[in-house]
Amino acid sequence: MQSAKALDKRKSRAETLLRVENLNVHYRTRRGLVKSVRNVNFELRRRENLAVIGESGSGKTTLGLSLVRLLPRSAEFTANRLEYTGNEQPLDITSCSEETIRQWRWKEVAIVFQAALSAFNPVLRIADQFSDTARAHGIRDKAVIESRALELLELVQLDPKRVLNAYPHELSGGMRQRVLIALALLLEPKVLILDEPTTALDILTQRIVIDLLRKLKEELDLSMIIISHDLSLAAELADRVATMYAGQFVEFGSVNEIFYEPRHPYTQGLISGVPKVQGNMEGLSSIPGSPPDLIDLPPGCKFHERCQYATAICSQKEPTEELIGKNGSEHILSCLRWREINDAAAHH
Amino acid sequence: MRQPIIELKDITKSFTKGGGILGGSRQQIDVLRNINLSISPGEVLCLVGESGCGKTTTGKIIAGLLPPNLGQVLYNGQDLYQLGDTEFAKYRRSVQLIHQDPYAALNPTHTIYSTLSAPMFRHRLVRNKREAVNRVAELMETVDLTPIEDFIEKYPHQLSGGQRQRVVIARSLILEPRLIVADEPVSMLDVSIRLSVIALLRRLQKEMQVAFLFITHDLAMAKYFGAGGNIAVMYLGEIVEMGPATLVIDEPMHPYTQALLKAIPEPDPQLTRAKEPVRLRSLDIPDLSELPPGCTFHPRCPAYLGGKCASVTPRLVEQPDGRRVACYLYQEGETPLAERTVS
Repeated sequence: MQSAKALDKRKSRAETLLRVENLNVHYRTRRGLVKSVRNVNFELRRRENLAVIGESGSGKTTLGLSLVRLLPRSAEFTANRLEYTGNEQPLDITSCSEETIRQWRWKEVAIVFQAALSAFNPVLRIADQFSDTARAHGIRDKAVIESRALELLELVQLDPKRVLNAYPHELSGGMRQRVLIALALLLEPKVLILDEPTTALDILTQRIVIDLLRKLKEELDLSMIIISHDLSLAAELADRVATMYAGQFVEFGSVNEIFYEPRHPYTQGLISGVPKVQGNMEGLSSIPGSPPDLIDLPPGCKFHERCQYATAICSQKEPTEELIGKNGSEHILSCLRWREINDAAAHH
Repeated sequence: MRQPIIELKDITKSFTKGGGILGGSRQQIDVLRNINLSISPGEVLCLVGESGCGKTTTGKIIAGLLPPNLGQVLYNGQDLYQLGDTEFAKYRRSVQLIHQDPYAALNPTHTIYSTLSAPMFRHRLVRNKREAVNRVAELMETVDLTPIEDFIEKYPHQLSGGQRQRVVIARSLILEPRLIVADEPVSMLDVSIRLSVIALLRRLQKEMQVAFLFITHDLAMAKYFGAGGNIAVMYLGEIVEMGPATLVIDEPMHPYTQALLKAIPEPDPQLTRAKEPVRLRSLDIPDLSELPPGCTFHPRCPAYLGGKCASVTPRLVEQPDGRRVACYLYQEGETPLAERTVS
């Protein structure tokens, strides 16, 4: 049993879909260079859900956009490696041509934006949003497109007859989010990038979307990158979680490691700052201060100004990523003082 | 029992749709129907529900920003819309509002000092600049905007969201209100900031004995802020369950409250993945302009009984533990419209 599991694990490890090494994205603005994403490293594996959690302005949306090269012109982006390895021939996302990336996007990696109206073309009926996308990717057979749209809408638990002829503004937020998910699945991608898929939805609708994403992952063998400020969404759906702060992954580990053994003071602060409905309300505390200006980042650890454990060294030396997991765990951390912090906590 | 600050009696509020320059038939939409609630001095009442359920409209009616179509708003037991000018001015001072969006709630051309001192001069609480500065500094200390000299001359755009919301909170305290209506006060703030602002409001509530109407869609925040107070759960313009916050959230009775609590994702992987699935009869929320007859939750209700659920609107009925629930599951042997008197 154990060995079979271990074997499975190794096998899945071999199946990597995205490889990201030292990814940096900067925006040029009048005020200066906005360092939105700094030295991000990760791999996305087949059938894996990776959640990136962080506050607004932490760079998580920019990270999502850079993975499919949808950044605005004002962005400069560099990476030692940014590669899609879902097909036999790996694709270098940083250097391939615009046309290649256009064909690849949506077919291999699709992005689902927040269910705002702006994610749709407002003058097209839902049916036309489907055929528009299909035609842009060379599918012209109307009957094929229609049956595929029908099938996908049913998959996301919408009534195709009602939805296909509707304009985006006629649908509720929850319905729009499900249409966007169906639309993203049109070309059978292997990876979905979901940017705040449940933000701004009501509780019951959030539940519908969460259950749907879980079902889709199982049935369609999808991998997902879930970008959100909502810890609960990561708790629901993620296999691995990265906490992002000031453009960096400050901690990265399995969902259990992040929620039950968080080691970075920022992750710890985030988790103890969100009350649960079940259970008591004790032990809650919040992080003082607010996130730094990405144009004028502090020296050393970017979190030191808000960190209760910071000492002089934290404001001088920038921590690097360190593998702290044992026995095959891949728990990664960027904190100079995590051992001392941990020991101190253990003594209490 | 102490005289409530505010009471809503059978409040109905309607808006009209259509009939404007774009034509379309005029239609009346009842966004609130038969709302009854009261807030006593120092009490916390949390109003929870999904978007469009009428939480904000209820808040606006309590703050006197919207008149109801039917029913009465009582302030200290007197009809708000029959008050004389002096009494009405008193009401205006004693009920204050904290808006959701701290970015829109502050005048961008005013410094913190001028934002906070203007109402003091307007209401003659201070006589000169020296007094105003002292009073502003005091308020800033109360809401933890310190060191004062770092902030007092700043403009809203120079502050973070959390700091702006603290200014809004400080402003709401100037006239020493008896009731603060806080409409989603932290939903626009970053996760790491939210709890500190809520903790501040809680501290103010306890120290100053201000009553609060706390409007939120976040049940965990309602439980945290409302501990010791009451909660009212709204669905499509009606209150479906109302009672002590901890009781309602820990042991919900109305099928809608139960569905909400089952559905809510929790920031704890094991807890949230072990949740019982929610089985709604229909996924999508009905339109306010085409409300279902009977109990408005019946088309989605997992505990649907048939019969009168789909024909007669259930009234709020007091339960043995003191809360009130509008559902036929808990009204055995009662005729649907008979409401027991609430002591």
